[in-house]
Amino acid sequence: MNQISATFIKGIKDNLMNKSALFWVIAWPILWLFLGVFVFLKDIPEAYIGFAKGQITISMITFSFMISGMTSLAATISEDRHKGLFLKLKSMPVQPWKESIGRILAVLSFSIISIIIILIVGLALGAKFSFSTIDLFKSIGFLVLGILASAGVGLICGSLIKSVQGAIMTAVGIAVITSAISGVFFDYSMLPGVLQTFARFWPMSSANAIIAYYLTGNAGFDATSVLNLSLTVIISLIFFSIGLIIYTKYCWKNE
Amino acid sequence: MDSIIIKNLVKKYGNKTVIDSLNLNIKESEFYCLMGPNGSGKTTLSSIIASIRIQDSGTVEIYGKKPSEVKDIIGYLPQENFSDSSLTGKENLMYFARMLGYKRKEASFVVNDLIKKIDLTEDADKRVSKYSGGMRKKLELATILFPGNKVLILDEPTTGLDPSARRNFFGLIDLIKEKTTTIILISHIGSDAEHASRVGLMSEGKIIAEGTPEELKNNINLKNIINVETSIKNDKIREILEGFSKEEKLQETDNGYKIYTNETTEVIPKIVRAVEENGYKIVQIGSIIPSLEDVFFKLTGKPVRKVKE
Repeated sequence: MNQISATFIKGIKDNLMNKSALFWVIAWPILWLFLGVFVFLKDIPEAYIGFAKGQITISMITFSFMISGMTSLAATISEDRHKGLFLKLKSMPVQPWKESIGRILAVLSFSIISIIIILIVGLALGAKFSFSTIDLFKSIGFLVLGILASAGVGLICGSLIKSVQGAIMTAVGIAVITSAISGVFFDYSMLPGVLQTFARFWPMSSANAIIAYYLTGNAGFDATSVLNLSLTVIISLIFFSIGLIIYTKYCWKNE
Repeated sequence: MDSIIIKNLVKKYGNKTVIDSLNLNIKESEFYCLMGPNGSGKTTLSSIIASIRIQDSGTVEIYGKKPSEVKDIIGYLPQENFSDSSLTGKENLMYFARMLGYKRKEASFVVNDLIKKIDLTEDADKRVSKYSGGMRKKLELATILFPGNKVLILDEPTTGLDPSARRNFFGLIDLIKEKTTTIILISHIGSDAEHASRVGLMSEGKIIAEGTPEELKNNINLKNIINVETSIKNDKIREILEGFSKEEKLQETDNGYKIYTNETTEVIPKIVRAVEENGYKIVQIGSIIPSLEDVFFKLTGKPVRKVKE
């Protein structure tokens, strides 16, 4: 537990003291939340506006955890490797799986802190949700899966790309581009056919649609079909597992 | 008693042999320095001892066990600054203490003790980003001083430090040295190696000479080294000075050249005259005491570190 706890504490402090991470994970989605509410939703009928604000809030929550999982993790891994921390840790009686869990827990916690802040802002701006207690728990489950899938991408970028800037920019690129083309920023119905298919397979956008469906009753398609739920669970876990395997292989292997 | 026994160690990167059938015994509580130029294999050797890399063949035993089996008694200080600059010095040490398995309260107790030991009490709660290079290296040194570490490996610890910080660093090492700890210092700086009780000179993956600093200097049988600082460095000056080196070994330094000779200092006026007759100016000239870097040069014909252009 000591190694998990030590890595977790270091990870969470690193994220909370990193102005760039705070901006991209918290401030940037909130800025878009304001833009969405005050610019893009002007023509929505009064009866739907609360749920539309709710959907934008969920989208910004998804974008936030994507940036947090992908970029923050890629940045910390890449920086730690660059400055020789892994050399130091490899010489110590440290178990890689404990260190990995500590890192993932830190990202999970940082994402949850960001999600709570964005949710509070969304509610303050008039976001409405309609859900049962079971729907809420299911949403939280898919939120965690989305964070783990993002963390998988972050682990891959941080482990495979040697340059710190390269790892960060690649992770940011993946997060921004895939958000734009998978229905996180736009309504699913606005996407062309091929991107609608991509949106169902890309675990982060799929989790976003499932959460939107559970909490607002609309995701543009039946996101809670057995097939869609199963695909999201399986692909999220595959992303996370591949990330962990690559991280252990490239950052912890003795040469 | 030997704390480290290395037999027939071989390590290759692709086709390049970095460690070449190396044998080495280091005694318990010995302060041993591996000195050699970049690429001589000393960092690879130290990382094999620290169980970061794995050899292709041969054995390394630390108190009779493989390095990976005794990680809890090895303290490895990498060359790079690995501490987290966004955390405080104390937070960094707490992280390493807990990674070593200490519970929170025990860790806090041990870390406070270490902070006192390295004289960092006043700055312990400052972020590492505010530390000087010397303070940061001192903090990182503390990460290998946790109780129970019996073998300390310091890889180029003074790189980037000014002479004052370097002196302070070795002052701290002297404090540690008094205990029953084996210290392995990796360095390409002669004055750093002088602190060790025994020095192994490494070149091309082999230890080419070994002994106390005094033994190594006495064994090369060199009477005199004349240090010549010139206003410029060029082939003509080199050619003139080579004429005064009976050993035909002339080493380029940052500010001029070193002449290795068995003649007495009476040759100095002749050198000054010869250089000035050719229109060049000598800034400074004098006889110097041989250092371990000179020993390395005498044995290999190569400088242990690169000179400034």
